[in-house]
Amino acid sequence: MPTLFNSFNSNTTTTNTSSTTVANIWFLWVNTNTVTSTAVTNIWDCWAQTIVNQQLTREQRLEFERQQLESRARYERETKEMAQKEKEANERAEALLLECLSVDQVAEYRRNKFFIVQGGKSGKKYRIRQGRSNNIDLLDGERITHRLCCHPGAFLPAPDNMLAQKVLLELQEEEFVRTANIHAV
Amino acid sequence: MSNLHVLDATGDSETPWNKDNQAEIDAARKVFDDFKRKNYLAYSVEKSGNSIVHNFNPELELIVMTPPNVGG
Repeated sequence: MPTLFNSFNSNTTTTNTSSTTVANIWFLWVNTNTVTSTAVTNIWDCWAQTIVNQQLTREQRLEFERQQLESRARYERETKEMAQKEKEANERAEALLLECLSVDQVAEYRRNKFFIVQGGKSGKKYRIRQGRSNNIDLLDGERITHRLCCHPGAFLPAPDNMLAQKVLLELQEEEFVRTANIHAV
Repeated sequence: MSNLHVLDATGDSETPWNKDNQAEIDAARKVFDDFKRKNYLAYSVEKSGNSIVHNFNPELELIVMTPPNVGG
């Protein structure tokens, strides 16, 4: 053993830790060590397997990182596409709303993002603010007396929602009020 | 050219028809009837005033259909 260790030390020094030489010495030492060769071989196998496992883990980690990058890029792309579609839907809905409003209502909507509607049955004034729910004020002059919440059950862009509320208040006010959730202010 | 607008998440889907074109009228009537069966509400929006539409009328200029309403 001392000879082998000396040989090992000697070789690593003179060959400047050449991996090939070190490996040869290691195999030489393992093969000539008759007393503990089995145990040493097991340790070697175990060490080699650890290295393989580490390499696999690194490969798996790289694959995972690649998938993460792909997933993030896809999420950003889809978010951007959704925002664009939402913007287009909103513009389309707003164009239809403006087509259906009176000149005064258009001016008010452009200025304040709300417009006033007169109830078809009662003649009361309702202010429809931009939004999807809880966006209608019942007015007494300039004062808000109640807030009403009634809107189409399906998801619509806000201007579409406002248009649906407007025509319902004008043409089916009683049904609107019956369906609405009403809060006194 | 008249138009049927069905409000949806994309803004609305349009079905235009020309009063002289029976095929277009039939197509618009079919869309109208399909959404009426889904309890959509239909309104005629005209300069002279809005009105509820129960049956498809090809003489109308603009029909808007909205999903049924719910209380908030």
